[in-house]
Amino acid sequence: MRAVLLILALLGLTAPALAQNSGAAVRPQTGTATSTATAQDGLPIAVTDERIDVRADYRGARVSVLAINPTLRGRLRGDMAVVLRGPPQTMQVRRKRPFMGLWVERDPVTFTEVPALLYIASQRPLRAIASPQAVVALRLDPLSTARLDSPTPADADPRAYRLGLNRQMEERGLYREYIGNDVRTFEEVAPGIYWAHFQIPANAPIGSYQAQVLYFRDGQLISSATRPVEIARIGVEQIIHTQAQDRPLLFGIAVVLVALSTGWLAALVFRR
Amino acid sequence: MPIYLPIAEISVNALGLIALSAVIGFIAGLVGIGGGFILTPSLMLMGVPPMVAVATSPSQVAAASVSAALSHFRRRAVDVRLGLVLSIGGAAGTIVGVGLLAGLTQTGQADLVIQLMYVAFLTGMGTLMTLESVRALRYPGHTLTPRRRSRLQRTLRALPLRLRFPASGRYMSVLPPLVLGAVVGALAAVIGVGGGFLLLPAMIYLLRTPAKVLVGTSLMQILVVTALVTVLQASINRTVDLVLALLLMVGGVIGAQYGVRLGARLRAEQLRLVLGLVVLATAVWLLRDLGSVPEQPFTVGVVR
Repeated sequence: MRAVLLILALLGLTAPALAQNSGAAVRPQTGTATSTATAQDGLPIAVTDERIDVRADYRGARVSVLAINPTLRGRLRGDMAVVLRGPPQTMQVRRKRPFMGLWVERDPVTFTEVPALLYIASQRPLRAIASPQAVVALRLDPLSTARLDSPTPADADPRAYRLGLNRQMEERGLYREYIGNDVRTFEEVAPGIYWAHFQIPANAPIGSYQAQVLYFRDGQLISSATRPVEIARIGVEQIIHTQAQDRPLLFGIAVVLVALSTGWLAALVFRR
Repeated sequence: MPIYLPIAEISVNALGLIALSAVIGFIAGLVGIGGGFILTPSLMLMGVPPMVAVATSPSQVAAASVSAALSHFRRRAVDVRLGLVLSIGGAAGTIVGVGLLAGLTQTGQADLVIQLMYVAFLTGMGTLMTLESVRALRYPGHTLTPRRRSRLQRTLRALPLRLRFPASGRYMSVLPPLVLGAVVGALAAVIGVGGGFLLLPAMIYLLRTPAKVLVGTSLMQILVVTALVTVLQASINRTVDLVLALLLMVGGVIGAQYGVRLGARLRAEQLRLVLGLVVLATAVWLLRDLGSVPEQPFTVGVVR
């Protein structure tokens, strides 16, 4: 599969008209970035799985993104970065304060547009290949991506809340930066051709993700391309979740009936 | 064998979960309790979100109590009228509890309240079980009988709304069983336990229910309350996970059957003593966790 994608992408490079310009696939949340950040000019991009099925045996998924430096045929210039971004979420961050000898969660602060997952892969650190402005505009810095949506307590530093949010997401394995050349994470298969391998953990929420390839030169974004990656429940998982959401009362009654019949069956089986 | 829980949205080891619930069901059957109070915190430790653990455990308790309740019904060892009064109280308590949990979730205090309640009642129950088993071990053959003319009993007798309970041979006010049922119902909703550990002693000491209908009547109330909690949690908080519930039920009912069998042949007092000490240790550990300086000064939760 990878080989096929590689050939396809190389074809796309030699015949730009055939290249999959995925400008239409850019999701609205990136629309908030500046115009340079949304530059789309047919940079090749390929994703191994655009749809990840969450079945009963789901344990997370591996997604590989192909990125190709557009100056491949001449002297290689500039840097590539590959981003995998989860759906935007609204999150509440609370700080723990001592209260009568116990540590109590208090002073909630709400953040919106928190990426549920943010993986960034590049050969050199992002700070070295992109200007601070570009990093903010492209929403690549987890610390500046989330939007503060409620007042912070007078005696608290808003930045501390952001750091707290970030640290939790890092600890859950949802925010990560991969730097360097590594076969398992960001691999340069030929000069200027890269595979970024992302392992999405099972605790990453279900929803619409997006894979993005970025090409930087002199700290500026020159071109980019985006592909959607959909994580969706399928089969029994889908049915159970839909029923639980759409017919909660019937769902609850069904669980009770299952419980009663399980107990009754066990009594039958074990009676001698 | 990994399995993805559709509501909890985590992947768990199915066989491990069945084994865990079988062990808990076994202990529960051995000692004669529902086991919800061990099951719910164990699920939280496994990474199941507290709200899902609390909402899903009662369905397992319901499954585990069905067969026992049925056999008590067949032997007419149930005071149906008392069971109904307890269940009406239980229904009220359940509704309050589920609503309380929904409100606490919005203010972000649900986890703290759940933990604090666990500390409080694990301490209480652990102490009771330990003392009772020590007493039983020291004075074998001696059973506790409530004193007839205590002040509490006089107060209870003065309450209005008295009703005849022929199966229990009691003529008493419906208020104590209503309140007792409500407390058990609220506990079932907020911390995801059946409440048998509280119901049984209260029925002995407060309601003075005779032994022949004691267990059957409490099972009837526990069954009604856990079933209602499941329906309410599913329809209001949408936190009941069917796949998780099924795994727990399968392990739980099998474990309980063997536990009951072995329990009939062992000295229950010694088991109770060990369990009481384990429960006390858990309470201390939970409290220490709440009181010590947190590793992470912030907590993060998704707002839906």
